[in-house]
Amino acid sequence: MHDVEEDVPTFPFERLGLEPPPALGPFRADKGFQKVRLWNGQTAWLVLRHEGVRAILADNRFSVDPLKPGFPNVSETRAELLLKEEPTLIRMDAPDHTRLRRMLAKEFTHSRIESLRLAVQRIVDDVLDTVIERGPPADFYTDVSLPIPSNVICHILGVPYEDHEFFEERGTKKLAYRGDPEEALRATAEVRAYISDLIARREREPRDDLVTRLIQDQIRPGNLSHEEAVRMCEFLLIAGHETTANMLSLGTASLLRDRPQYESLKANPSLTSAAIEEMLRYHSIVQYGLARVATEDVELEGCVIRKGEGVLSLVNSANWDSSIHPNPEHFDIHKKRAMHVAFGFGVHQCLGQPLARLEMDVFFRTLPCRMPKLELAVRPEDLRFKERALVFGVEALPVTW
Amino acid sequence: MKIVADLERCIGAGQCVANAERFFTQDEETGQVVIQVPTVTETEREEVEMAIYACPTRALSLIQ
Repeated sequence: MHDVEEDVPTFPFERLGLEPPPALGPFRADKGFQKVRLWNGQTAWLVLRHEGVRAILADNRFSVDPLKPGFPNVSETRAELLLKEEPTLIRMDAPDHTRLRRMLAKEFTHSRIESLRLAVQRIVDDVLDTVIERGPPADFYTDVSLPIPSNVICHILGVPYEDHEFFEERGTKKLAYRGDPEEALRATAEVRAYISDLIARREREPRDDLVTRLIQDQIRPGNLSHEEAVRMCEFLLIAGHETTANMLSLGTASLLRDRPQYESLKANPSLTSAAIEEMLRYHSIVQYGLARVATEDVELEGCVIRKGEGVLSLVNSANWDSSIHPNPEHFDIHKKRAMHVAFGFGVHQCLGQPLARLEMDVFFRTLPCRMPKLELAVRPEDLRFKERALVFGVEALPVTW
Repeated sequence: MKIVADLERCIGAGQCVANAERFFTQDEETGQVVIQVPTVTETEREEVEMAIYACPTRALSLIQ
């Protein structure tokens, strides 16, 4: 008997440069849903279009719990980590997730985040001062893109920045797509032990920071256990630096690759907001999809997803859906684009998005004035990418000025 | 038209504020939506509908 399952393509697909994998295009154009085979032989659905991704992510019949049968893990490393580590809130369903997320919502409101603008500006200025003073050349990723969000998340949580190498290295190991799963688990455990100590310190010596507020508002009244707070803060620390660091470098690379757009932003800072949204859309750094498993049969746009089947919602494909974003392959900061799903959708939509946007806003308003002659020191096609990382980004961004 | 918010669904993502600041703000303690201007005229409708479309938990609606 013919086994139709043999025709199922293997996911993930190869990525060649700054753009999402070319193989996604035909599947997106065809039906917007595609069955694929994962590393362990299991099959799962890819969701490739804007409306499909929104529908799945807003639908509470899909679970984010990796312990549920059929949950799609994109690699062996990820499978091992997600099965063994105590989950953070992105791997919890309602009502547990709702309870924890609501404790954090007030820390990430628009007015709260906007009140950090001066602090972020100071951090951006300091980082740029240092690199400019040292003189060209530089690795823009290590010298500029990473220290900014690392400093900012330290400022918010109350983590001492002098420990940045410790948590940056472990963050990279934890967010590995490929690599030794034991290393990822160890990295998680080490950061959690570090945060546990920090919480204990703040219990004795309160300060004006998120950790102290969690202790006073949630732990002491008995709403949140010490262990839950540890996982929550570990998650904020890791999620808070590497993602934005990647976006600062990728955004800069895209502007420099098409020099007139860098000049245009320099001449007209009011383009910054549109430029940021275009960077988020174009790069969509969550490259292996947002993983869910169906908890009952669901029919969507003619596709039937059975209970226990895994679904990977690909934001990097949805944001290149030409029915929503015309000429998606053309990076253009002048174009007012439609709403993208780079931060996801549904109850798990990125908690830190106002912060990510603030950091990008301050950064891209400041950079072109401070480094007007900035240019890539390699050809764009020679850029190297983080091959083992779950989140897309450049390995290094050699620049001069 | 009138804006209605379902606070059971709202998780305080703040997309309403990002898209239609004149109509929405967030509660300082919970982060949840606070409707500042509940009544929407025909000319304002597009802006509010954008905020409704942006809401990740579909907690907002417009009623006649």
